[in-house]
Amino acid sequence: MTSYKADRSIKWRFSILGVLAGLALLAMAPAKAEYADVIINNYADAAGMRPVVFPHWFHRIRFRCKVCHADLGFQFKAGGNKITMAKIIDGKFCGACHNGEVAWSVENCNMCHSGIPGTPTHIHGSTVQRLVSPPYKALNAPQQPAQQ
Amino acid sequence: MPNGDSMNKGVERYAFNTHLRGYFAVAIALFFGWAVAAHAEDGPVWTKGLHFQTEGEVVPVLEDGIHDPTNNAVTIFQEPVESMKDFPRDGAGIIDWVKVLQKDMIDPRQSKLGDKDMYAADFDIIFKNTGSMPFVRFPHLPHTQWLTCANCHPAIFLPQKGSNPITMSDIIQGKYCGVCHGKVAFPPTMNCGRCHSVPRDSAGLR
Ligand code: HEC
Ligand code: HEC
Ligand code: HEC
Ligand code: HEC
Ligand code: HEC
Ligand code: HEC
Repeated sequence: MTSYKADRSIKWRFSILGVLAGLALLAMAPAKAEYADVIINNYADAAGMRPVVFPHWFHRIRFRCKVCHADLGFQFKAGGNKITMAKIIDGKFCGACHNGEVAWSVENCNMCHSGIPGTPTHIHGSTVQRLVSPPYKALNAPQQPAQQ
Repeated sequence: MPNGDSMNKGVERYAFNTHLRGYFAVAIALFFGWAVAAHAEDGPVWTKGLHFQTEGEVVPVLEDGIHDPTNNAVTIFQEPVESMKDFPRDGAGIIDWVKVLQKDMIDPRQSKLGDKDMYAADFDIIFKNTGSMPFVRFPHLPHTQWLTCANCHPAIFLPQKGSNPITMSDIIQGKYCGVCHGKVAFPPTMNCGRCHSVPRDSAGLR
């Protein structure tokens, strides 16, 4: 009897092992977008444009955080600045630089509007979103285009 | 009163049952493994994958799961692996932007046009309420080379030693240090020692 019980607990341990293996698989999911890439999608989807992808790594090689987050007034919150095209053309937010002088101008719609339609506003790789509840409303994303 | 034969049957049934349970357990294990792996495919985008900055495998921007591959502009973008190829990494394999800056590998502009300079402050704050972990050193110097005082004071931290009740769980939930660490600066979950860097028995600390 006792040996039978021990046997069973070993078997169940296997299933726990399986769950752990599954979690390990989860951790090894293939690499995706870069750490700190911000997707901004408050209005873009609804207006029929692709969501905006803002790469932090690319900009921080060229500018200190302070330039954007103090001088240009970007708050530390993905989607929290309520950026619109009117403000950008007016020279605010992205438009402070993407004006044909500091960086390429606003005509290049597809350079900023480069996200997969339906991707919700978020900052990629965030510890908070990974471990705590995601603070951004998840949209019911439409089927992603086939990726070969 | 059972005879020997049925006793044997009972033993066999026991053996059979144990095996059955064993297979069942393995089936459940496989199912969970599969379910979790499948979830990795379907889950929200922000949980997906490692990154070049945190020593992940490298994928082209075209396939990163965020950029629309049907947009022809994606082919113009710079690849993280090209721009950050030689950047030094810390002990946990995360790109060490402090060293990148110190070694003059980059010189990000300090104002939009690069015509104004920032002021750096050079003093450390030691946090001692760290349970059994080594104390935390908060160095103003590397921070003020990227950020200005108003980025942190007073919205995130009151500029007074000991006036901010910081805990590790606040940080992981995105408060205090976690406003940046875990989003843009190195994550709090991957390299404890970079913050908890002062041995507890250090003498002479205020
Ligand atoms: C420098 C980057 C940039 C460029 C270039 C750009 N946009 Fe935008 N655009 C944004 C951002 C950021 C938002 C805010 C996205 C959101 O919250 O959904 C936005 C939002 C929008 C919106 C929805 C909100 C609104 O203001 O109506 C539309 C429509 C839009 N863009 C169209 C365009 C078109 C058309 C072009 C090209 C002429 C263009 N954009 C070029 C960054 C850019
Ligand atoms: C070129 C401009 C620019 C630079 C430089 C920059 N950022 Fe950002 N940052 C942004 C934009 C744009 C957003 C998204 C704001 C939005 O969606 O409204 C953002 C968002 C953030 C967020 C909010 C993430 C969240 O919780 O949702 C943090 C934190 C942050 N940046 C930290 C930094 C740090 C630290 C640096 C320096 C290493 C830095 N940023 C450099 C433009 C910049
Ligand atoms: C402080 C100035 C500044 C601000 C603000 C800024 N950018 Fe940029 N951005 C640049 C510069 C400089 C480049 C490089 C231009 C070049 O290569 O000619 C650039 C390039 C880019 C690129 C191309 C990256 C690549 O791989 O080539 C994208 C996409 C982009 N910006 C999006 C944005 C968005 C979206 C915003 C607003 C949320 C924004 N930027 C705000 C300065 C800025
Ligand atoms: C971004 C810097 C940073 C990183 C990285 C970091 N910590 Fe902390 N930790 C702190 C600060 C700040 C405190 C608060 C100290 C105080 O209030 O005196 C703290 C406090 C703690 C405490 C004390 C109890 C509590 O909850 O406040 C423990 C335990 C702890 N950290 C463990 C860890 C572990 C384990 C890791 C790695 C997984 C880690 N920390 C990574 C900054 C950090
Ligand atoms: C990255 C965030 C950050 C930046 C940027 C920053 N500080 Fe601090 N500062 C802190 C933290 C954290 C503390 C410790 C608060 C505590 O002990 O609770 C602190 C404490 C202080 C204190 C109190 C020291 C004491 O002994 O009581 C002063 C004064 C101060 N900072 C001045 C500055 C000045 C001036 C600048 C700009 C040059 C600056 N800080 C930039 C995070 C920052
Ligand atoms: C406003 C954003 C911000 C906040 C808040 C912040 N940090 Fe940082 N921290 C940075 C950036 C940016 C770097 C540069 C390294 C990087 O990006 O990975 C950095 C680097 C560091 C380093 C590495 C220094 C080195 O020499 O390698 C330590 C340690 C650190 N932070 C501790 C803390 C602690 C502890 C707190 C909270 C008390 C804190 N930071 C709050 C933005 C921030």
